[in-house]
Amino acid sequence: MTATPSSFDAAPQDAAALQVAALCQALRSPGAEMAAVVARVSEQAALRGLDDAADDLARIGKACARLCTLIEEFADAPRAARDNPAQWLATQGHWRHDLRTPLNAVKGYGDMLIDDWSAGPGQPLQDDLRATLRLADQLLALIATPQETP
Amino acid sequence: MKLLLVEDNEMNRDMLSRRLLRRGYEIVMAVDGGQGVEMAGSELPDLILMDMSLPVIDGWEATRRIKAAEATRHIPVIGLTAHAMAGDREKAIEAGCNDYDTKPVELDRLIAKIEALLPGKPA
Repeated sequence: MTATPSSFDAAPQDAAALQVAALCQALRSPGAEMAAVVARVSEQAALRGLDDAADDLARIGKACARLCTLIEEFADAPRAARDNPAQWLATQGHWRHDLRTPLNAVKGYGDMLIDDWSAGPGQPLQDDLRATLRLADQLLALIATPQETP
Repeated sequence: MKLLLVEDNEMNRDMLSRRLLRRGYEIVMAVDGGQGVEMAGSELPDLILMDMSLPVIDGWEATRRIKAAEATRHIPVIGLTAHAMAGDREKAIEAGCNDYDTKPVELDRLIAKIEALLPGKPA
C-alpha cells in the first residue's frame, strides 16, 4: 500500500522547503560574487606578473567553483524535501560540512596571499582578497547553526 | 616542533601545512586514518592534527587506536572537522582527542590550542 501524505503532513514539509529555498537564494549571491572577485584578482595578478601566486589563486578559484556547484545542488533541496522528507533531513548536516570544506580553502589561501602581498606589486590586490574573505564569512554565517561550537 | 597533519583533502592539507610551516612548525602528513595511525608510531610527532572525516579509518577510530597504543598515547591530538554541531566536540573528546577545532581553521585560534597542549615548547 502506498502512503499518501495528508494535508496535515504536507504543511511542515512545505514550510521546510520554503525555508531552504530562501536560504539558497541568500547563499547564491555571496557565492557568485566571491567567484567573480577571485577571477578579477587572478587576472590582475597575471597582469602584474605575480606568477608565484598563480597556483594558489587557481586553488581559490577551484574552491569557489565547488562552492557555487554545491549551492546549486542544494537549490534542488525544496523538491527533495517535498519528495522524500526523511532523506532530505538526513542530508542536512552533510551540506553544511560540504560547504565548509571549500570555504576552509578559500579563507586559508586568501590569508596566505594577503600576507604575501603586504608589500610589492600585489599590495593593491589585497582589498579584493579581503572582500573575498568577508564574503566567505558571510556564507559561513548563513550556514551556521545555533548549536555551533568553535 | 613536529606536527602530524592527518587530512585527506589535498587543498586543505597543502594550505594548512604551508601556513604552519610559515609559523615555524615541522610538518609531516598522512592522507587517511590508517596512515595517520602508522605515522603517529613511526614519526612520534609532538602533536597530531586529526581531521575526523577520513577514508580507510575515520579520525575518531584513528584517535582511539593512537590513544590505545603504549608508544603513542602520550601524543596530544586536536580533532579538526568541518562539522560544527554541539555533539561533535564531545564525540571527539570521547574518542581521545585532547582538544577540538572546527573548519574553516582560524590559524591563531588553532595555534593557541597547540601551544596550550605543548606549553613551553617553541615552534
